[in-house]
Amino acid sequence: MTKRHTYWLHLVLGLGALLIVLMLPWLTESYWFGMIVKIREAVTTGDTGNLVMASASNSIIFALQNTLSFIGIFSLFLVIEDYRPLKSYWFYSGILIAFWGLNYGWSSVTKMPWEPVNNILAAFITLLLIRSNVRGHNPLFRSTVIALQTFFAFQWLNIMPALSRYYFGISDIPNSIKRTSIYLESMDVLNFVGLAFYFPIFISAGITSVMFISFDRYISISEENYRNEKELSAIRSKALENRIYQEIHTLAHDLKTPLVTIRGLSSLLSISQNKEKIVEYTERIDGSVEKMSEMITSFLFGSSKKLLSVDEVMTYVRAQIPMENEELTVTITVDENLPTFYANKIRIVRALINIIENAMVVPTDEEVKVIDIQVAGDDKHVAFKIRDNGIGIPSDQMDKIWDVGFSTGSTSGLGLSFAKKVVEDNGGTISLESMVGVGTSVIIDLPVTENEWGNKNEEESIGH
Amino acid sequence: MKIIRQIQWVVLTLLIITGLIFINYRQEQRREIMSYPSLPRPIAEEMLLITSAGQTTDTYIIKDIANELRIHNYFMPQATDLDLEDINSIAVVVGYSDIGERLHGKTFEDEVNRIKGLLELADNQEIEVITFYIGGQHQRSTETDELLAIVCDASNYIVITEDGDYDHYITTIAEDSDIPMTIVDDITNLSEPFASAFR
Repeated sequence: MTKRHTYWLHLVLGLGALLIVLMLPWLTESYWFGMIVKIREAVTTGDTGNLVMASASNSIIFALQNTLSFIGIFSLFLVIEDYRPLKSYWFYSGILIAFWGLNYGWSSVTKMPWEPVNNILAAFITLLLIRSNVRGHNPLFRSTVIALQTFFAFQWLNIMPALSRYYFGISDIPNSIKRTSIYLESMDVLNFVGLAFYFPIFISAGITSVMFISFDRYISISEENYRNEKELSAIRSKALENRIYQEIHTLAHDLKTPLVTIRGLSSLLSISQNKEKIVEYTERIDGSVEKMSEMITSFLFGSSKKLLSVDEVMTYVRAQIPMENEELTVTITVDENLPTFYANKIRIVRALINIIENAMVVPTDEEVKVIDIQVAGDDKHVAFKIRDNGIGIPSDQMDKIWDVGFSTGSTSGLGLSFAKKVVEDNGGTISLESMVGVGTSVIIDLPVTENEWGNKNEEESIGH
Repeated sequence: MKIIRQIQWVVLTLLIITGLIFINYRQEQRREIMSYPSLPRPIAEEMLLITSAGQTTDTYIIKDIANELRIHNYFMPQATDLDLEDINSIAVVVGYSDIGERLHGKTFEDEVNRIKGLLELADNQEIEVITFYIGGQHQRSTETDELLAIVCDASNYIVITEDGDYDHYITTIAEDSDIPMTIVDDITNLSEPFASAFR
């Protein structure tokens, strides 16, 4: 709803409510007469129930009259607020004064009863309850719900003889009801009934106000979360984009090796006269081209898999990471006679390197960072275990480590999520064990399965 | 800012407490007034006409007490001078009610004229008039006071509840016109003075 629509809505509802207030003396006339009949019945029969019924009618009519006049004035102040914002002090005191003026004037003109002390007190309490709701969603609806309950609750104080001396219930009907209760010696009944209605309804008004405020807070937290999520999503996209550039950079770097081989062999070809050598160089050039083709295919198509040996993978991994320096010790242990397996070579290597890089950057309490890479397996599985002696991951963060963008340190937060995706794309599983102060182990388990055509360990690439 | 707010709350609380103490103090201020607990000898005879000056619902209470005391009565809140046939005494219950008047389709001026006419004829026919005002402090309005002035001045006996004469308005009228008056604590004590007027 636009601001202009809200402005007109408040204006129409405000004027409408005040118009109904002006018509109330005629609309409610029969109900007032009904109350007098009830009082007469109570005197004649001695039945206090008639007084309670008259009290209920009185409270309903007064609550309706007060709520309408309060909401009418409140709406018009919202119109003023829409047009020109008021200071809180003027807004609330203005409503209170206008409410008093309207009731006083209305009562003087129409000769209808009103309760100055009760009405002003109820209006003041209503303003306190709606104060935090004015700036929320649908302030008019909220204020109406709270005002109706508050005014209805307070009207029950009018029929309590115990409060007469404090100028509660001084108008015609409440005064008659109380005098009749004195005559019937049933003041305690009316005092009790008044309190019994007042407290629950007033508490209900308070709870309604708190619920509206809580709803506002919930909405504002949700909106903030939505904004944060959007920002985080943008950051993740940016980070992923950077990751792609990094991968391309790595690939380009890797492609240089076979290119250098091809260039060297082609130079040799140009000067070689030996046919056998030419054939050998040509085959080696062909092999290098094939290797480049495989690399590009693996990079471009995630589902492209080929039969890999552990040695082949680990050779590639070794080439990508610094093995030793003064602060870093990397040990690699590979069991013998491990089976081959189907996987996307470039991607699975990148996943392993990501995990190793994570292990390298994670802080440690030890003097030397130790990374232990173990590869083991049987005829069904090949398991890569990368263990470090870093500070470990607290248990409460273990559920989030696979989330994109989550990082416990200075990493991008993309390595583990990327590794998980790659491992799962290749039919494997990845798990993580960590102990704070001891270190972290990441285990990648890849199945030695048949390829998608049912050929186990077949020496051919399955790709595009 | 927080301290100012706390001071505001303290001042507001003190004002409310002071207001409540003042209200209590004001209501406990009573003047010693010479009044009869009941009449020493009867002044009125049956048949009694019970009517209202201002159409308050208190009229129903007086009628109920009269019935309990077995005082033969006609109950006519809108009685006029035409209704005084066979009537030896009138109980006028004073108290102005806007809603009561509206229920009977009358204005305040109509009511004043009716009461004046009724009292004038009662005076001519030497019919005793007993005034009751049991509406308390909160029913005292300009209209009620005007009716009290008219009715009390023409009465032979006035019975009121204590809270209705907080400003001694009725006492002053009674003293000025030398009319016997009984002030009761509350409505439940009306029977004795009411009965004393007849027996």
